[in-house]
Amino acid sequence: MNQFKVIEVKRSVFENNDQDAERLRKQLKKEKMFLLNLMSSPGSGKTTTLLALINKIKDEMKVGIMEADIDSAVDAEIMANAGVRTIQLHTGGMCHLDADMTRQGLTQLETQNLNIVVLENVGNLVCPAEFDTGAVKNATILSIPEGHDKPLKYPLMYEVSDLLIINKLDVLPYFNFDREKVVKYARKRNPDIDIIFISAKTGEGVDELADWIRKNVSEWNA
Amino acid sequence: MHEMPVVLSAIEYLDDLADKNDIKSIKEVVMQIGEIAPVIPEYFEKYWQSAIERSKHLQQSVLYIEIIPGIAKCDHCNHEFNIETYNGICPECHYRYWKIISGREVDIKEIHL
Repeated sequence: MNQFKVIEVKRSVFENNDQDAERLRKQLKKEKMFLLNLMSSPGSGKTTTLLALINKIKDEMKVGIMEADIDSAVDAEIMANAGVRTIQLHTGGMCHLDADMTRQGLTQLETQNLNIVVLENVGNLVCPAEFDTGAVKNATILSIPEGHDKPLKYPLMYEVSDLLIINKLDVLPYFNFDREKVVKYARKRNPDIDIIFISAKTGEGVDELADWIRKNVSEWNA
Repeated sequence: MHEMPVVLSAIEYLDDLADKNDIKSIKEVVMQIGEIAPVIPEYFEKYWQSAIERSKHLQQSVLYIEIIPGIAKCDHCNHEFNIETYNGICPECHYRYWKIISGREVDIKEIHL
């Protein structure tokens, strides 16, 4: 390597997105808007869980949803049919959302009268964890059929999440899923992570989830 | 997997830096990419070569990539070791839990004028 004049830069390529995310969070704080980034692999039950949750809190808070998928409006239609203000984001093949896309989505959603917005991220355990969306809190769903070892295999997702929702409790008898192990593995990655077991289908545990939302929204708006 | 947006973002940043500091042309760019970063150096390099054709100040630049080792610190005995070499198992005490202390970075280290 020829030595020319050297200028030290030492800047992460992710810094732009990190700054965008911080800026968005500051704006959300001013507007008293709680944004939750909900992640998981495809089929864990994000949409079903959201429907069950909204049912519990809809009389106390106005909820908006941003659905993110590669294609189709399947989830947005489900939400709209349930009477929830929703927009569908198409990522154009991108495997994750970043802060800028989230900001654009919020503008499209028109959040003036909303208390809480949930971003249902692209179904993917790898990429979404790498990009700060500007959300106030991150939650990830792991469903029983997926197995209790996922926190070991996909560490970053569990490191960046504030809440781990274990879904599909109703099928626990049919799988070798160890409840104690999943808690142990998740806490290895993130000692502070909250863990709630639910069945979005039967409603078990959804009250506890609603309480977690109430507590965190209230703390954010304090 | 995210090489393209990452390359474009780096080039945009450097073109902007050059504009702000009256730099006409950047001769060399040194990147640091961690062994366990979400970016594969080979693909970063490939996209870089295409992307600089449309840049303002980087068209003649040469790219160098330093690989930063993926180092973990054992949760049990605090020993530091290379994650890839030891497959995530501490060579001192054989514990399987650790914190990553380097190897995830994708940084623009320096530019040469």
